[in-house]
Amino acid sequence: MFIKRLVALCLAYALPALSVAQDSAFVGDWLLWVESGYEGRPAYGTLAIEATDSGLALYVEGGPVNLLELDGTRIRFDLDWVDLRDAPRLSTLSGVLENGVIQGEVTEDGADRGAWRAARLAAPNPDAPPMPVDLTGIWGEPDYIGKGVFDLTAAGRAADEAYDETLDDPILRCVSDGLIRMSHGPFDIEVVDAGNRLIMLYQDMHEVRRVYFDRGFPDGIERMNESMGYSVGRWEGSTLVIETRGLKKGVWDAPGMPISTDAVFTERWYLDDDGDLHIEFSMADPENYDRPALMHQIRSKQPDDREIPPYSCDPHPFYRGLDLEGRLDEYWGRSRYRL
Amino acid sequence: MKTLAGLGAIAVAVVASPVLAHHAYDANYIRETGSIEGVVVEVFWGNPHVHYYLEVTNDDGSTMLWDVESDNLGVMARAGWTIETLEVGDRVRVSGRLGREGRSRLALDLESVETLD
Repeated sequence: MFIKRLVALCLAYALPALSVAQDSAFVGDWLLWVESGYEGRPAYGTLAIEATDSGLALYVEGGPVNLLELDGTRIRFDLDWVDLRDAPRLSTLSGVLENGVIQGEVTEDGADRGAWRAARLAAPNPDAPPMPVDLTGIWGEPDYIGKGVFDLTAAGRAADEAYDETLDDPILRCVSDGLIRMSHGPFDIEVVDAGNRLIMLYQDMHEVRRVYFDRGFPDGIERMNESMGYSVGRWEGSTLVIETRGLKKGVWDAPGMPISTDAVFTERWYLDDDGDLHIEFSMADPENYDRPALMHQIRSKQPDDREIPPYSCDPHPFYRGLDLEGRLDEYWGRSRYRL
Repeated sequence: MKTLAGLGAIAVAVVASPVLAHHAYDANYIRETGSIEGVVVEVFWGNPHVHYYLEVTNDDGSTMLWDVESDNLGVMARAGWTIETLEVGDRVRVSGRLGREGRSRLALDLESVETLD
């Protein structure tokens, strides 16, 4: 919450004071790469730069970030995020746009924290004829940027403020955390081709998901209210596009970013030249967000002999902890917030 | 390091500590780290996270139970831990982020564990 408030303050005070000349060379969607300092693994995300009446507006993973400086080919902005070890970070990214790539340094409180770069993302081509590729196998845990602040609606803010992650988080009770959250958790996914559908086996909570290619959404999808929803897939060229509806009301990250039952979760799965799997997510939920939340992650193919270990879950330590801390009555009293 | 008043077995330090992925540790733990000494009285070896319950003796001779939280079984296995690494009856010193609002819980730093006696 501290990071959220800090960035909100920065946005409130800094943005009106900035008079930034538009520079169309920066406008567009970029694949953002930030050195995370965790086992040498970078974190990936989507940087969207849009032209507005008052200058450029920047969004990472669909959430606003604070543009500090734009001078010719130089750009500097703040990024609130959570790195691959869930450590909250408030970084300043300074870089230069050259030959279609932005790259530069990451600093935090003036200290050097590594490098970053951004390369343009290819625009989707919905008219591309299907050219399916083999996505089967085990894909390892993802590398991604965990953005902290999003443009919430009044309903979204109310849901966020009402949520107590020490009591309401379904994971604490071993209840599935749902498709969106488990899509960026530190777990593997195994993909199996079953002809008219892909079966996706999530290590997290032993969840199973089916992506159908030969049908649309069933009637009453808006009332399905299931943790994994209902997924329909199609191929745009060699990109697998999956749309999921019927998700359960809940949260899609631990601090409590809300999801309504009307949320539409769209994924674009594709392989890069190294054989790594890119997954771009877009979560449109007008009840809670003014603009879609985005994610971009990369997973590496695991050896064929790898086995995904079982994931059994027991809520014992949650209730044990509440009992030790004298908070059981507080928990029982929050039944209307239970997800 | 300094010692928390009334809790002789606990020491705290303001040190940035990496935390574990996927769960909101910030909701339950402050950024300050500390260490405690105690006897393992219960082991919960399972998901979502492994927990050890330690009986810690205070300066005045009273005892209190601490909830020491670690990570999921997959991460524990990759770190070389098994259900037998720490067992009931072991006397240990452990470090990690301390619980919010003075709660007797600690997010375990796996590399900090020392077996005593």
